[in-house]
Amino acid sequence: MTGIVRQRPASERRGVPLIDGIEKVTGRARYTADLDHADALIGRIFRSPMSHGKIERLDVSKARELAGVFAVVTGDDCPHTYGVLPVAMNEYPLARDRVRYRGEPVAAVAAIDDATAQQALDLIEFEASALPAYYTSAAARAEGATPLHDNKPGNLEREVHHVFGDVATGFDEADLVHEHRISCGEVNHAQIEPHAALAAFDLATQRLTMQSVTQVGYYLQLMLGRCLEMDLSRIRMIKPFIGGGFGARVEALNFEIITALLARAAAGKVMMQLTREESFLTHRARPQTDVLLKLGMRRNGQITACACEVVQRGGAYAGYGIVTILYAGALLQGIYDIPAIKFDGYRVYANLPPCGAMRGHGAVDVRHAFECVLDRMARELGLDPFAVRRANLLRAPTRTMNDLVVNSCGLSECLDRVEEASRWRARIGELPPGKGLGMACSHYVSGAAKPIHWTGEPHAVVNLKVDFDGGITAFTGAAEIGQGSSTMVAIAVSETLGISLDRVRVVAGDSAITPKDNGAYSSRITFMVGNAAIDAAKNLKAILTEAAAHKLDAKPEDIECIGEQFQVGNGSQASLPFAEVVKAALVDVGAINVKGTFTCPPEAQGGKQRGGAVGSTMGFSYAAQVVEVTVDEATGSVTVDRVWTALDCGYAINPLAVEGQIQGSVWMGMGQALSEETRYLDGLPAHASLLEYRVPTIAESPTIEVQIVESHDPNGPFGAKEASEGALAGFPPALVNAVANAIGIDLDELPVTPDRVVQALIERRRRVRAGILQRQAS
Amino acid sequence: MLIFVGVAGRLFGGRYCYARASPKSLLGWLRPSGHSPLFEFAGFDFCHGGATQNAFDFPKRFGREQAMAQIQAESRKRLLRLKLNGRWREDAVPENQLLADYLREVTGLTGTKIGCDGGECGACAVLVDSRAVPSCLTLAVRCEGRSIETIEGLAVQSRLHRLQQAFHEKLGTQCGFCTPGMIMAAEALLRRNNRPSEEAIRVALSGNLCRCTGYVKIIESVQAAAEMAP
Repeated sequence: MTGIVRQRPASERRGVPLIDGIEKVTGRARYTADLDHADALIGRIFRSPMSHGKIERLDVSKARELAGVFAVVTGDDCPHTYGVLPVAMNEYPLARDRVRYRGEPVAAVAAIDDATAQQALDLIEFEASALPAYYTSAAARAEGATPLHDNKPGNLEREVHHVFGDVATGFDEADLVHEHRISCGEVNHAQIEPHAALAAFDLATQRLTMQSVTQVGYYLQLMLGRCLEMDLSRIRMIKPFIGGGFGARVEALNFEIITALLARAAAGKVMMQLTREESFLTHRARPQTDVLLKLGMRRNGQITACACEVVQRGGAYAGYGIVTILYAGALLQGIYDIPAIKFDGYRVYANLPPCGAMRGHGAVDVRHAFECVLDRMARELGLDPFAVRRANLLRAPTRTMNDLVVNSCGLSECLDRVEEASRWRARIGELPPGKGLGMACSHYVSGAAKPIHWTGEPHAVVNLKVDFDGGITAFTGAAEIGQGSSTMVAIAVSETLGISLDRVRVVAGDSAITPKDNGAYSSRITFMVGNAAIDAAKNLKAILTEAAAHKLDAKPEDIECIGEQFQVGNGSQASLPFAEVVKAALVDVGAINVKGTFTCPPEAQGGKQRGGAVGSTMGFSYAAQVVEVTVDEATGSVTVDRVWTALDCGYAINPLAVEGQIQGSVWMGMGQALSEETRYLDGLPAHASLLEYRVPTIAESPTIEVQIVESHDPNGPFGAKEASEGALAGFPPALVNAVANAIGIDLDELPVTPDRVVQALIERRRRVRAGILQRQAS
Repeated sequence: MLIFVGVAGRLFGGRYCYARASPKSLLGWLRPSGHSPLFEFAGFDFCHGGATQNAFDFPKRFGREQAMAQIQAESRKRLLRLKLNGRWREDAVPENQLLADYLREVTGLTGTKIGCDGGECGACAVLVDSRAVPSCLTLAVRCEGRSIETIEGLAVQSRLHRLQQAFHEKLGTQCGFCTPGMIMAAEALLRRNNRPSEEAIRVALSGNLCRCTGYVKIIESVQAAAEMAP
């Protein structure tokens, strides 16, 4: 499975630029909004102006009559729900009977142009009676609260209670027990490309062609079939260039289904481009989360027990919610060796845009709390933060208590590397006032080992075609969204075959051409699609080697292809160029098509406990990082001066891209730690623009030094694991720990905005003053 | 209790009635009275997008005839002559059309991206007389007689410009959506300062958001391009 294992470490290999990079830097790359839509109708959505209400009247007749309006659709046009897990599809593309958040789609129009579509929206009459609305988990869970969904009393979407090991004994054995309540604000993916979709319905053939910003063409196709009651074979999904995802597009989204509904109603082509504000409203990002974490620790830093309660404010609909809350519990494990873990998770409905998956899905906020509490306890025990982590390292290969397989773990080396690079030992405690160092660890899955829909099919399929011209085309459904997945496939194929990279073309994400792929989520592509690509290349290689052997009059097992030359033994005897071998292989059979697949074995698919499949993976990536900050005590502003990160990605198939992914994820963690938060005022999004939602600019972004650690996973493609999510979760706790190191205050809330820092400083001064007064009085 | 939420649900200032409450739609309401707040930026006039309150003076409800009249009024055009990527051209352009929309819809140059509702992200940056300008805040008719350069104009046929070469090789681009604006802003910088310091790069690109790279490789790309011969 590992293909050709190369020995040279990542630091000695540069990697290659993205194979679709030229299109991007020249402006030739066509994203959804750039597709030809000269003849398309313009789609617009009428959204709920209230947080929670019963729809009393929705009259679209005036809009329908307006000249230039070709279609108006409402909830009546789609009686089917959509969603992620088959058990939790409780959302209609357009609201029926009830609206549950401000901005929820209620109706949509397709008109000849922008202005007409907007006028049509103005002519829609909407009446609703208000129901009580809840904007916090506590309010939604309070006694007597009206349920958002009738089958979910108490507004609990899902409760999770898992206990592994003897927790009570664990806490008894501890020398120190800490319990902290830590809360993290809700954040958004804020991918730079706003949402867009282009749907074309042809009346004569009854076919629908959908081009959209999706990361999961397959799931979108399923949901379109369900909501439009269409035979799946009549739907074609094409993925254009995608301007970032980060989880925003890992489920079918309401506007995509609405666009398809409009296209069918209008019997034509509809272009839907959401505004930035609407893209924020579509949301599906990381929920506001409260973590109550209790850890027991021995004097030497060993963790004896962990009890963790997590409450996620999930928004108005299920989406990925159940998976998110299960991830929060499952990924307490798989990084440290902890003998007893208790997890209580609550996913709560509230009258806000639905949350979903975002980079580091489910793991980030819990990891943040965990790493912060570790540091506080280490300080009290007089232990170094590195020593505390080292005292609890997991040793691979192993199985965790919740049945996750860990076949490789390079966390120890990650710790060594960042400790050395940051000169931690020389500098910690020696920094000038206002400056601080902090560190933390994190991990993430390389693809969910159990797919969302059980079909019995392989987890990934890659097809290869070679024809008379000697060019190789790889067909994959894997969604290239900027992470470099197509480049990874090309490298996997070219390295396995021993040919140059530019001989390989990759065609990705077109359901009419490419084999089905589950999509770009849970960092599954490198591990699963990479393995499938290697498998396909091996199958092709067998055919070509056979042909070469025939021509060279040698045994196939003696033949190797190196540098596009098929040679016998070391090449001193005879060799044939690649193109000639292809010609020989085509004799009698013509164009060659081969397939490669990858399937996660059942033993990697998680435990038997309810929800045990979530968190299961073939391999975890591991990361450690050190963050250096400067805190201005007058203004409360926190500046990140420098970041040192090390990530164990198993093997860096493309070191350049791995480095880019790590920097991007660390930086995204910085945004969440420092400035990003989507706040709502009575359900009205207050931060639904890129001015108010504070994504860090280049001016405040630090240098991020990356070290790649390669633990060579036994099952990964060439030994590789994921590289783009694992490092994110380590940043926020490393930053909070660095702030604590700088000013001696432990902050319990994210993001660490200046007002929160100033507030904490004021409170400390007040406490100090109160202490002095008390001493004077006594 | 029955609440009448009103035509098109303008309960909170009509935020959701205008699916595209961007300058494109707002400017339609502002024109032709000409009281749109223009201000100077780097010596160049562009139209500010934050004219929200004016948008809501627009009659809340009107009949079809008024509506059609509004559409016709909006489509009043002017002859625009400008130099686009080195070639002079003339187009009849609606007075309220934004440069970004002119480039994307009229000339078909879709390399210039729109990533926000007006002036937030920098993805639409183009060069107007060698200065980087957000084309989503610039009226096309304001570019009369000027030289406009977009990402499509940088490469000479398939020979890449040095910034394109550097962004490609150094992975200054991941999803690529911010890349055209980023490269145009960097080009404006290199034209006035061929050896920019890291600080100068950070200042020049601070109006361009990227969500993929963490900016580290963007800075490296600009530095690498500065090293290359123009």
